[in-house]
Amino acid sequence: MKKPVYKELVAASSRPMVLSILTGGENYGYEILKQVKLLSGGEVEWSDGMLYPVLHRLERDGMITGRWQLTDEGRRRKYYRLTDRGKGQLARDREGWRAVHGALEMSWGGGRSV
Amino acid sequence: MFDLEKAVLGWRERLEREASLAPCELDELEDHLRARFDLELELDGALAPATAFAIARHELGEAATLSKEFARAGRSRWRRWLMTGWAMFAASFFLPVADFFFDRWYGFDLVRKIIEDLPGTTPVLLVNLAMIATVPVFWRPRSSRRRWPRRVLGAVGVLALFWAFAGLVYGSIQRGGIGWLLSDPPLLVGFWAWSGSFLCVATGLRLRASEWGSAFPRRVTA
Repeated sequence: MKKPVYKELVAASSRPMVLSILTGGENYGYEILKQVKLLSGGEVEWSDGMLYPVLHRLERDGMITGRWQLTDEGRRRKYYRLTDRGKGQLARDREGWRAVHGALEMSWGGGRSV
Repeated sequence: MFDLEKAVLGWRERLEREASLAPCELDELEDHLRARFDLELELDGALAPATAFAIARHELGEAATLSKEFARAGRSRWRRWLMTGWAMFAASFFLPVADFFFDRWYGFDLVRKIIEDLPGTTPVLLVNLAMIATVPVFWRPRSSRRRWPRRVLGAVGVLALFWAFAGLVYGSIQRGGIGWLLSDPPLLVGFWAWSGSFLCVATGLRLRASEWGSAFPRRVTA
């Protein structure tokens, strides 16, 4: 069984991860968490409680914006969507992560598995 | 018989008490908890609702963990404004406030003067007491919907600064320049700290109210 990605890397990737998921459209916390698990094949493990502080920080920084909406069950739910600032940040994050990924791949032998 | 609403209410109250999260944060966590509860029941039809709720609650995290996660993500802006305001207010008592006829007055000198000259100085005393009365807000889990405290504090800050600026402008016109402000400033750092502290605290209270306000959305689209 594979070990899950360690927490420092999970924390570092949380911003681009959330921003990337929101490029697919407006979404809410629980669904974002499911997307993270789905995209990473379960290797990136986010604790349920970790997501919301990240969302709130991104909202405070103006990268995403949230609005409350009533669900069909009459429950209040906060939906988030990407802002222009968030899109810009995601583009920068993507470049950065690609550079890191490329450098690591090169150092590990041009993409061959170690 | 398991009562989901009662269980959610109990969980919410405990979290509010122990993690001091704002209602808007609790609303989101509650939605997550309920979604998780539904999922657990969906995955295992034989699961008792109480067990499903316990699993959902455990997965979401205990109060201490959630509190730590939210704290790690950064304190709310209102906390910074309030802390800055109170720090400036406290500092103003130990800083020189004004030079009255070459006699330098510190904040605590003025406090003594205010107490000696009561009841004539009652408004100034009340304004300072109002500022001190805001301190418990930092730890109080529930937000007050009353607007007047922040309005009063904000008005005091604006009026104090307006009065000071008006005085400085008038003095400069009388003396034909602003050189005297550098050589013999009548109002010193303590005064500006004291006045500014009211504006900071008023801003902090307004931000706090708006953060809590999102738990009671005015406009709901659906």
